[in-house]
Amino acid sequence: MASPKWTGFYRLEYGLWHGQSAAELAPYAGRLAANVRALLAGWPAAEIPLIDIGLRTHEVLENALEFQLTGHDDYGSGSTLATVSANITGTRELLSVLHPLLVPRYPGLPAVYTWLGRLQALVDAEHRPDGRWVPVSRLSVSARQAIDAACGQVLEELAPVASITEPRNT
Amino acid sequence: MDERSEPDERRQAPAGAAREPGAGPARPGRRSFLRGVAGGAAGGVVAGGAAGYALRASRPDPALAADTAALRGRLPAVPFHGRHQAGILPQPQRQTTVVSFGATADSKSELTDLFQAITSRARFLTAGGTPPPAGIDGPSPDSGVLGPTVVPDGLTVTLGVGSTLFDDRYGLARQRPSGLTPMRSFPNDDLDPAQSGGDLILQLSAGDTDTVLHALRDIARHTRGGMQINWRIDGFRPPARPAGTVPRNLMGFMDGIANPPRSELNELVWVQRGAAAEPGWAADGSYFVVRLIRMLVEFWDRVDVTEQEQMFGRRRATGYPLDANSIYAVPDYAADPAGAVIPLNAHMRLANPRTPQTAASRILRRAWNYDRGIDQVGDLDMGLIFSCFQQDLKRQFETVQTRLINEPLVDYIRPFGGGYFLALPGVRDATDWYGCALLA
Repeated sequence: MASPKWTGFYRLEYGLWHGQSAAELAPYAGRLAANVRALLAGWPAAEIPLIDIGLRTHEVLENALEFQLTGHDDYGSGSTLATVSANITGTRELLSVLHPLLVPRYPGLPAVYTWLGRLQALVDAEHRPDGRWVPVSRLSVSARQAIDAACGQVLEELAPVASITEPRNT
Repeated sequence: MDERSEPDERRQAPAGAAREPGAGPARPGRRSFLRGVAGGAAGGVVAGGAAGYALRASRPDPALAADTAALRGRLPAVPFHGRHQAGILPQPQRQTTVVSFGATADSKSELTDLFQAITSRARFLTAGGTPPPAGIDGPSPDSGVLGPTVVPDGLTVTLGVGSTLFDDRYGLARQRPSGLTPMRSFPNDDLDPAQSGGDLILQLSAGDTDTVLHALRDIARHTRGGMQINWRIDGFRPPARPAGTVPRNLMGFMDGIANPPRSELNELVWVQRGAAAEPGWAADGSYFVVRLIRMLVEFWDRVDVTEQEQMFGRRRATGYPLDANSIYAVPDYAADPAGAVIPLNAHMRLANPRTPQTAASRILRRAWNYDRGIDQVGDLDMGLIFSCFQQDLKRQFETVQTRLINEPLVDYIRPFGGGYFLALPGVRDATDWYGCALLA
């Protein structure tokens, strides 16, 4: 935790929720903001192989399940559901890129959207009117199981996308 | 999940390898924390307490084929005494437990008692026999889990020491083997301190779970004040499916296909007598790495088989290298320099590139599957107890693991615990004991 090499979003979150001062954390915030701006500026020129998009479409939510819904990557704010919500948006974006390829090739595509919608609704239900998110550790057992189940089912529905979008020799 | 060169020769425990009856050394006097060692009823009556258990070694039936024997819980005894510990070379037994302990003995003399108690119990448990009857003035000296007669069931006991044993508690700092350090955290590791390290590591392996748990309870009750469990994990080695192949890990791939041949053990596995960097007591021991590796099996099952095979470098169904048509075929990397058939970052290719330059980094790997419940999102917590034995941690395990940094497989696994240990030299005979050369 104390490593000076540790920077970025989680470092900032950790500091903010563990009583560290603004003066101590400002450099981390400044660096994070600069990195985000650089990413935004460079993004239009970035080249992402289409095959990678197909191969990795399910991995956004795989990581959401592994690190956010487990609470593994909660460094104090209890806001991992906010990250999951952003991950759902990201998954939708990837699907929109692949949509023309998938519509004629993947009969299971409607189920992907059905379960993605259900997951979104379940996560949104834990977004309180004051803007805070319910930490996963404080969810009721039934709410947590419903979210975990929906995420797992989206992942099962997404699993064939990698094979379907892979170029074939035959 | 690592791959090493040649298939090792099978080491079969000789049938009928029973211990000579009652062959135990006279026990030294116990200190208070080991008072339980003598066993309630027998204490004071049977001279030497624990050693008195081994009254009648069971005689395995030589006619039993190994598989039948395993099914019936009657694997033959594996001889306990020897130059090297007996649990290192054999093919993994079906069941195992790996247990890390913190030493709580409060002096070198109590530590000596602890090692002698472990020796004594291991000697009895691996040979089998009939424990003394329960007396009227205390609990039964045996848990009864294996019935009135303790069967050997192929039990092996492997004891190792961690670097922390060589701190200032026991005056052993100058005896620490030079290469023995805390386990390094590699990139992509997620090590939990509560499941890492330990002053001592004890691995108990046998044909059946009840044999393993009986042995663990027996050893623990006889060493209650001398050591405390830090962490523990149980493992199993499945039968080969199909028969005649190699057991699979929980990713569905055959695991442990390749290992060094017995002719190379002195170059690769055993610490050599007179080795410049090693204290004399460590000779005939072996550096023992344990890595607890969760496999994210739900994620893995969502991956195309072809992609899985590219990550390992072998066919999932058959275990064949991607460039060959038999399990034990040596992959021909020279013929595939660009990785067109077996990717350059395939697990088995990184782990063992099979070049003259990398030959000295080969290890003796031993792996068991583990399965222990669920995680916070209800996914299954299962994976691999990877272990390996080698002569030199840096030259071997750390070199191999460094080649594996950022291999594609890392997305699907999470190393969360384990440690570096030195498996002690074997207990040579009835008068020897674990760590004798270190502590005497």
